[in-house]
Order: sequence, then C-alpha cells, then structure tokens
Amino acid sequence: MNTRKTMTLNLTEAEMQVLGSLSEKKDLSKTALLRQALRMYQLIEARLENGEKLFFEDEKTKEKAEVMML
Amino acid sequence: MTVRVRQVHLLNVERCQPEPAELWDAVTEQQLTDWENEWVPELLKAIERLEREGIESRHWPQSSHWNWRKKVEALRGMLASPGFSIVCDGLTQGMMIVDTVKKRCRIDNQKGKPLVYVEFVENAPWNRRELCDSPRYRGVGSILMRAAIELSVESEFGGRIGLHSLSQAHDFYAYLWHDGPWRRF
Amino acid sequence: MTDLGADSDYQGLRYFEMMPEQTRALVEKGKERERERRDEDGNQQGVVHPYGAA
Repeated sequence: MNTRKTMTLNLTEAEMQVLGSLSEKKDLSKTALLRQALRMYQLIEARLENGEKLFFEDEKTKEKAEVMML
Repeated sequence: MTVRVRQVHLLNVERCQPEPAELWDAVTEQQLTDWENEWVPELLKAIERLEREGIESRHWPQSSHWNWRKKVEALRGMLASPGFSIVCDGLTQGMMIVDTVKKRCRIDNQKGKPLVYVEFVENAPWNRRELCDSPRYRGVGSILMRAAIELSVESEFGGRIGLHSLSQAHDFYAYLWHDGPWRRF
Repeated sequence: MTDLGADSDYQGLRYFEMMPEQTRALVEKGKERERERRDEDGNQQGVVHPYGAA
C-alpha cells in the first residue's frame, strides 16, 4: 500500500488551474487531491454498477437531481 | 494484495508485560477466518453467560450483529475504505474499517475539512472487560485509533478523525487523548 | 476526542471528532510508549517502528 509509483500527467492550463484552486481550497497537495478524487470516483462507479443512483439534493427545497456519470 | 505489517506491542494482562504484536494495514482472509472460528463462538458464549446471569440485553455487546465477512467483501478493493487489523499470539485481536471520502469535519473551526471516518472498529471478545473477567490484551483500541490518525496524516487530512460511538464505548473515545496511568496501553 | 453529541441521522449515536492538535499529542504519546514497551520487551532487533519514528 505504501509503495508508490510516479507518473507524468498532461493537463491543459484550465485543468491545471482547477487542480491548483481545488488543492488550495482543500488544503491538500495536488497529489493528495488527485488520490482523493480517485478514491471517490472508484466508490461512485462501484455503487452505480451496483444499481444505485447518485443525486444532488437542495438542502432548502429538498429538490433532487440525479447525477449522470460517464 | 500487499499488506504492510508494522510491529507494535500489546499489554499481556495476565503477565502484566508488553507482548510483540503486528499492525496490518488490511483485513485479510486470515482475520475473517479468526472472526468466524474464534470471535463468533466466544461472543456467543459470552452472550449466553450474560443471559444466564439475567443481564438486560441493552448491556450486551452492541457490535454482536456485525458480520465482518460481509463488510469486508462489500468493500474489497475500494481505495476509499481501507482496513486495519492487529495480530498477536497468532490470532486477530482487533479489526477496523475506515472511510476516507464520505464524511467531512463538523467541529466549528475545522468544518468541511476532510477526515478519516472510523466506520467499524472491534476488539476480540477475549479482550473486552464487559465480556470476560480477565481480558487477555490491552491496547488494541488505542493502536487502531493511532493507525486511523496516521492514515489521516498520510492523506494530508492533518490527523483529523471522526466516528460515531456505540454507547458502551463513549468513555474510551471521550478520554482517548487524556493521559493517566490507566491509559498506558 | 471532542464529543459533538447525539446524531439524529445516525440512530442517536454520539459523534466524536479528534482535531490535529489532539491527534499530534496522541501520536507522540503512542511513539513514546511504544519505545518503552520495546525496551521492556527487550526486542530491539529488526523492529520497524509502527508510527514512523526514527
């Protein structure tokens, strides 16, 4: 689990900006942010494959919108 | 699957001495076999004894319905939900599953920040004071909590952890970071 | 840990959080105790320290 491998990532300037601002907002390094994104993506994918759906809910109106994942 | 094993020590209560143990960063088939062959029969015996002694069911172990095989199999391979276990004297002494994505800090000055959330943590029945008169080992819960903290630090979550506590474990968590002679293990 | 009280979304179980300053203290104490136990145990060869201490 602790052994790590290095890879080069090619991102557009816009993607890089998002990565930078998100990592700053979350107080995480870019690597930690991407690892966290991967954990989350895998979890969502597994649950969708399991027949579950992903929704956003408006806290006030309780209106729900299903999130369609690629 | 590669399992990282780190050496730790538990307190052997009978001998009143530290005993080498292993902290694994996984819950493997070995743990599930120990749970089925050793933990469950021991737990059932303890519950039967509590029932014979007329102890109300609300005082029985609240984790007794947990099925570790189902939990572990449902989460196998999920990066978001790593497991940990402690092995000593050839047997699993404690297990824990955490979540690293679904929960956020609630406390005011850390609100919204990521944390490691402890989903399930359990000590072997023979180490639990509420189940046996003379527990075998002490230190299992503290070592597992520290493993959660270490994961939080590695994930750059600053060591933040969170959990919902079964009522029988309130005091343990409430005083986890307080010092005192009873907290040596 | 800090007790944030009963959580109605979680069958009324009490919710606890541990903050960075508390966790640092706990990990440091853990390292110290592990060193003590290792010394008491006399088992100092080939030991990988559990919490990354040198």
